[in-house]
Amino acid sequence: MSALEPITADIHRYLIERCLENDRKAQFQIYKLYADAMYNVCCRMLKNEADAQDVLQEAFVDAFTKLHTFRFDAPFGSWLKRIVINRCVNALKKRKLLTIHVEEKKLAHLPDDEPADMHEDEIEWEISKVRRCMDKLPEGARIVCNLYLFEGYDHAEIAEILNITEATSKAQYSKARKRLREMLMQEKTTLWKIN
Amino acid sequence: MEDKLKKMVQLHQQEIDTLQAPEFLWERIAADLDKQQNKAATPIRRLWTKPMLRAAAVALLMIVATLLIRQQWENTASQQAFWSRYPELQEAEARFRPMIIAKVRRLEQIGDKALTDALLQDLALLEQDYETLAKDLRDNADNRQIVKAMVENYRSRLQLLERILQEIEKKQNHEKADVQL
Repeated sequence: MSALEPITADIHRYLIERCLENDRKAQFQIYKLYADAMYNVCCRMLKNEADAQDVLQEAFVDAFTKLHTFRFDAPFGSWLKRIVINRCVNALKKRKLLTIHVEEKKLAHLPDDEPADMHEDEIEWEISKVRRCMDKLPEGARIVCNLYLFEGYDHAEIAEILNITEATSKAQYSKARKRLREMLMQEKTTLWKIN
Repeated sequence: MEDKLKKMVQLHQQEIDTLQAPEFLWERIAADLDKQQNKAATPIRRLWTKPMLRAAAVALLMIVATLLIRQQWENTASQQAFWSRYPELQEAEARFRPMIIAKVRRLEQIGDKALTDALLQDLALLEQDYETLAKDLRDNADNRQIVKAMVENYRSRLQLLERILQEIEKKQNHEKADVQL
């Protein structure tokens, strides 16, 4: 979360207290500090910049409106990010793209990591390739994978965010990881054949 | 088992946020916040600023007012029509009411407050009886006995007043005579 906590807690407190008095300049300063990081979160979650802009707008308005509920017991960035993530999840649910519940039963029996890591040494994970392949995953698996790998949530937190069980979150991640490895292996084979 | 994928992403964390939020987004957020503040400041007025709602409210008030006035006028007219069927009652009211009022004023002038209050309570009871009779008359159309009882009620009220006034005046005369002796 270091990228999301670029200033000290004291300055944060001062800005947030001014925001609570509807000081537009303070709100703008908070916005400037977090807008880019949160915009990237939205783009990763929604895969669409126009949707990401709409959701980010709603999330910031939401955050400033209910800022009185922020208690300073957690980093402000984490609090804000959770609002952004919840908004993204709601937007995906509205578009009926997030259908984890349907796959929940089918995946429940899958073990967490095995056999995904069996051929771990054969694959070289690259961030750009992983991100590109992630977009081809089924939506439920993609969201769990994104929350776990890029947004830094553990499976208990993902379960809470998506209203699923922790086991389902783990199974979805396992499925996503396995599929990613297959896609990267396939790419590697294709490239080898071309060359 | 170590998750090499997770470890790789953590190592490249700084590289993943490559996009910048568009400049115009803050203007949209600020506009939304302004709207919310205005809404919170004037939650009720907002309804009345809509011309159609305002016109509808005025129209509704006018309709209600017209209906109420009409209903009251009809009640008064129907009451007049009803009482005109009983000339003896109208006659009794015309005759006894001014006399009762005059006697009450006379009693008040004499200045016996305790007696006046007690008497006014009795008169109020008689008036209640009268109202009950009037209601009965409206419910049981054209009952001559009720009309007769109502006329008697007026007479009773007047007689009660006259008797009390006589008593008081007699008492006062005695007191004067005693003083002269």
